[in-house]
Order: sequence, then structure tokens, then C-alpha cells
Amino acid sequence: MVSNYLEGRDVTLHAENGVLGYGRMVSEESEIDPDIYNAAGQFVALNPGASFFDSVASFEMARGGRIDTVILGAYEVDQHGSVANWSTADAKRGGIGGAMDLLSGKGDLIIVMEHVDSKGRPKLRRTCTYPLTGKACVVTDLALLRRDTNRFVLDAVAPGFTPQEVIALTEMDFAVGPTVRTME
Amino acid sequence: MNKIFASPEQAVADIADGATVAIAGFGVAHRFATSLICALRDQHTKDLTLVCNSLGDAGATRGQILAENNQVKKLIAAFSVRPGTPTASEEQIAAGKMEVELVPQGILVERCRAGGAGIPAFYSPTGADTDLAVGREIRDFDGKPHVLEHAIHVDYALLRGYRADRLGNVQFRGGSQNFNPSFAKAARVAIVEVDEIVEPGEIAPELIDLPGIFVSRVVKTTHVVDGKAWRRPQRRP
Repeated sequence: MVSNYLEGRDVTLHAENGVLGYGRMVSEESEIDPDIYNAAGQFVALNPGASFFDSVASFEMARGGRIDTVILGAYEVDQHGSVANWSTADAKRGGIGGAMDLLSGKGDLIIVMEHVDSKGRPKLRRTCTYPLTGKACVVTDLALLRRDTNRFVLDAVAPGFTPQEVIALTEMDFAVGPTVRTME
Repeated sequence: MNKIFASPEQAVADIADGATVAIAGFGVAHRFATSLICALRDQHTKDLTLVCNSLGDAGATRGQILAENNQVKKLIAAFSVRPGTPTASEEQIAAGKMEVELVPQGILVERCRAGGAGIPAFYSPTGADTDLAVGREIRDFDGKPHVLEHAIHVDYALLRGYRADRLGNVQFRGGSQNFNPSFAKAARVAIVEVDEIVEPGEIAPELIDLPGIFVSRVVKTTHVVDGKAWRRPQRRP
């Protein structure tokens, strides 16, 4: 999704399946190449200078600290900055994918998620209830929460929401920034 | 030297009950060793241990059809459950009929690479502070915990390439290398199915992604990549 909003910006996207430098998603038959897709399996266009490699090289880039920013979804994030995104059951049943490897690199982590789950329960918790993926991260969504040294700070809220409403939908403790923007 | 097999059935015929088989391929309905997987299903080999990223959706011509045919004893994978309709493998896991070892994707390939490289084990930071590290050997390097990861060796690897020659030299296409090279190296017998078998020399040496020394068998695919499957809706989080 993010790849559709980066046009004209000097950002290089990495897909764990082995592509560096891909662009927007494509859906027209004439544009689709069956061997060019992103980590979600969606067909994408390539930017000039793109490259292909195998999974070993892909995760060398991740664990080796060459990726500046990692963007993931999550089931839960807690006020300690811990992320849970691979299982809602136990360590046998889940989907880790490449998330843990991506977290073990040096990049900033942006979590893009719904603020509450489908039953309206908070996903921003005091402490994660699901198995953890990793620690020390940044979060965004209905609200944009930036990770300060040891806490999250509310920087922005979605149009139509007040900081108080966001607090009410959030279980974790966080600080409210001096000026809370409205997200575009 | 001629590594070409006449059919996918012949290429997998000696895979015996209890074998460990790595299946390369990434994505939902992308380039998999579909002919070889179907041949393995049709010969009903039992008690397989599968190494793969995931088994895929219900009915997908991937590892999942082996689970649907009750051929899988153990799964070593980065995904055992995916959102959406429950699959045969998920039901068998929940019922305790299929053993599971969940492995982060980058560790899965690194363990296979290590197996192929003659490195028995290595330490990695991935997942060191998670439930996956519970009960495992942990050692601090530079003040941070690292988990001891053991190499993976498999009996067979089922690969999908673009072109290959009778010497086993393989060329992949686009972003479809994924697990293929590391799984091949971890295997005693790597079997590759390709769109096209060419004469040695036809793939320029610098375009060979996987040298033939890692590949034992080459077979022409009987399943072309399905154009309609490309546009299936994606639902991985």
C-alpha cells in the first residue's frame, strides 16, 4: 500500500522475497509480470535501478542493518514499545514470516494498524497479550504515536477525532504532545 | 552428464515415506514446483517432513495439497496459520496430528544455507527476546542476546526455475529466486522443474543463478504459471 504513495520521492523499497527498488502495485494484464511481486504477493512495477536476489541476501540486508525503516502491521502494540504481530494463539500456530528478522536490523519501525479490533477492543495495550515479535518501536494509525525515549507521544489524530476520544479507545498509557495535529 | 528426467513422476519416484522435503516458492499463487508437488501427492508418500515458507491456501497446488492428502507428519515453516478459511494443515495442527516448528523466514533460509555450506550452527539476534527463544541456547554478543540456530539438511528440495540445462545449471526469472538456492544447497537431492530446458552454454555463465553442482535432477514443468491466479485478491496482513 505504501508503495502507491511514494511517487517522486527518493525512497527505495525492499521486498523480503528478493526485490529492491520496486514501485506502485499493478493490476492491468499488460503491466503484470508473474515474477515481479512484493512481499504480500502483489504484482508491482519496477523503478530504474531495481535488483533481484534470493532470500538469503534479502535477510542479510535486514539483519545486517541496511534497511532504514521497516513498516509492518500488528495485532497489538504496548506502551513499552513491544509489538505482537505473528500469533493470536501459541508458538506453534501463527505466521512469523520475515517480521522478526526485519525487527532485528537497525531500522526505525513503523506499525500501521487499526486502533481497535473488529469487536472494538483496544489494540494499543498496556502489555501485549499475544506472543511478542520484538521490542522498542514506533506506532501509527487513527492516531500517530511517536516513540519518545521510553514512552509513546500522541502527535496527530485522524480527522473527526479528538485526543480525548483517542485516549478513550486506547488501553496503553501515553503522553499527549504539545500540539496534536490532524492527520491528512 | 545428463540430469534430465523424462517426467515429474520419475523425478520424485524415489522419495520414500518419512523423507524430509523442502519446497521453495514465495507468494500465494506464484511460481512453485507444481508438477513435482502434484507427482509427490499422486504417489502417496507418507510421513513427510516439509520445509517451506508456508503450505499455502486450501486447494493451492503447493504443500497444502500434500496436507490435504494426509502425507505430512511435520512442518518446518515461517507460517503455520494464515488469515482466512482454515486449511487442512491448520486443522491437523490444531488436532495435534501435524508437528510444527515455526521459524522466522530469514532464519529458515539461513539455516538451510548453513546446512549446504557445512556450517552446523550459528547465533542470530532474530527472535531472541520472544517465545521462540524459550528453552533454547542463548549467548550474549556485544551485550545483546542471540539464539543458537542449527543447520537444516533435507533429503530432497523441490525447486522452480525459469531455464536449466542437462548439467543442472539454473536461471531464475525476476524476483522468483526466493528460497530456491538455499533450499537446493541444503538438499541431498535437489530437483528443479523449469519452463524450458536448454543446451549447455545457452545460458551465459554469468546468468547462471544456481550452478549445476547443487542440482541433481532437471525436469520440464507440466504446469505453466497460471495467469488467472495472478490476480487473486491478496489477504496477508
